Amino acid sequence: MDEQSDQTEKVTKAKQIDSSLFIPIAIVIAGGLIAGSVYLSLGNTSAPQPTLTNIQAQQVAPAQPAGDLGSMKPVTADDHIRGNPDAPIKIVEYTDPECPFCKRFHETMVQVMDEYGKDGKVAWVYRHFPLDQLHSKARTESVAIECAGDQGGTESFWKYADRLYEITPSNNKLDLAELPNIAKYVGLDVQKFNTCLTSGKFDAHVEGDVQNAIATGGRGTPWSIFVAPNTPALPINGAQPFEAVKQLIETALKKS
Amino acid sequence: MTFALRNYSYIVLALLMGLLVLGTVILFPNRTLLATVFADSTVSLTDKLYLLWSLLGSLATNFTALSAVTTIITSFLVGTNISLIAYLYTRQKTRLSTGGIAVSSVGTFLAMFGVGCAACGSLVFTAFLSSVGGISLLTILPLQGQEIGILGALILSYATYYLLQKITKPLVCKI
Repeated sequence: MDEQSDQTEKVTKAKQIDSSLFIPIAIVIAGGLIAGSVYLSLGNTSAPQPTLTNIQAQQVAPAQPAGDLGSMKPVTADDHIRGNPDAPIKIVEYTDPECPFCKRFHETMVQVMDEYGKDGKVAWVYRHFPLDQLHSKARTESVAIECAGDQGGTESFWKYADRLYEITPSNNKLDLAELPNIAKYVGLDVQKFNTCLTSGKFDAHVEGDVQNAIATGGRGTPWSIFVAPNTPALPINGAQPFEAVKQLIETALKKS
Repeated sequence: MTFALRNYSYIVLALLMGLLVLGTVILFPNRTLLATVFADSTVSLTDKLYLLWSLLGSLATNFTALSAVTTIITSFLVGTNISLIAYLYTRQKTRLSTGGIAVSSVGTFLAMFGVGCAACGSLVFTAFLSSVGGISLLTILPLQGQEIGILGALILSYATYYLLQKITKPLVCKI
């Protein structure tokens, strides 16, 4: 009888041990995740970095705990604006040409402009936010869009951007050899375009947009700021559906 | 079947909690936008509710197919877990072991950590990595962080199985 109760006790204890293992396992998993991230982040600081701008992006992002929409660089004539520059509603988009969700949101914004741009009610402002750590080609592509605008003006800027977003498979999969081909497709001088692309002329401009995106609270792409009269600036995080953007516009139009 | 019908309120609870979690996960990235609009007294309630409803459509636009499926499964697994825990407490008056709750909690934590758009930084995990400067981790993960969500879903599935075992186990006095 005593032997039997001993055995039962042993089985119960074994079960208790088995059950109590869940907590350490849980802690180990969570700890592993954190340790892995920290280890890699420490590794990053000592590893050689491809560009100075990469380092800046990595260092500035954590230093800005919370973004302030008021830090948004005012929309000026220097911006790339689609639609009426004096439109009451402006959607300022910070975008990465290799982010699949930016590609989706680009289509949404084209739809928005088709519906509200013609009447001059809405303007779309394009700003760069290449995520270097995830998409190493995105910054070059952002510069390429700037070079298109530099050579052919606003129309070429948007034509180039539309074509790039149309053909890129996203996630860093666009062959950079396609950039001059797009330039040719939109009717630009390819030689001039290539010279601009390697000149570094727009590196500071793109980096300025990146820093401004971070300062306003952008932590991913697409990151947009909705600006309308009698309405506080509104952050739009991610590729929101057309219906949501439309609803924001309709609500703002009622108030303006 | 009879058992399920007798306890339909727990099925409803699981579904409601699942929907609540799913809605929260989808809307979470735009909490500031919603808070600002909802705090604006000049915007009508209808417009506010329509905005909320339209933002739910981002499950189709702001998620990959894999992350959308993982998010839906995870949300309903969280709902099921909550419902099963409620059943065990109220019907069977079972004192749950810390192990059961730990598995369920870790699964929920990991799953919530891993939902969203990994590639573009809207994933909670990505935001966390960004804050500790370890975003490079994503580039070496084949699914760019979705692994965390899948791991969470697997742990939640185990937690559901564990809780179901508790329910189906007859309440007897052991010798």
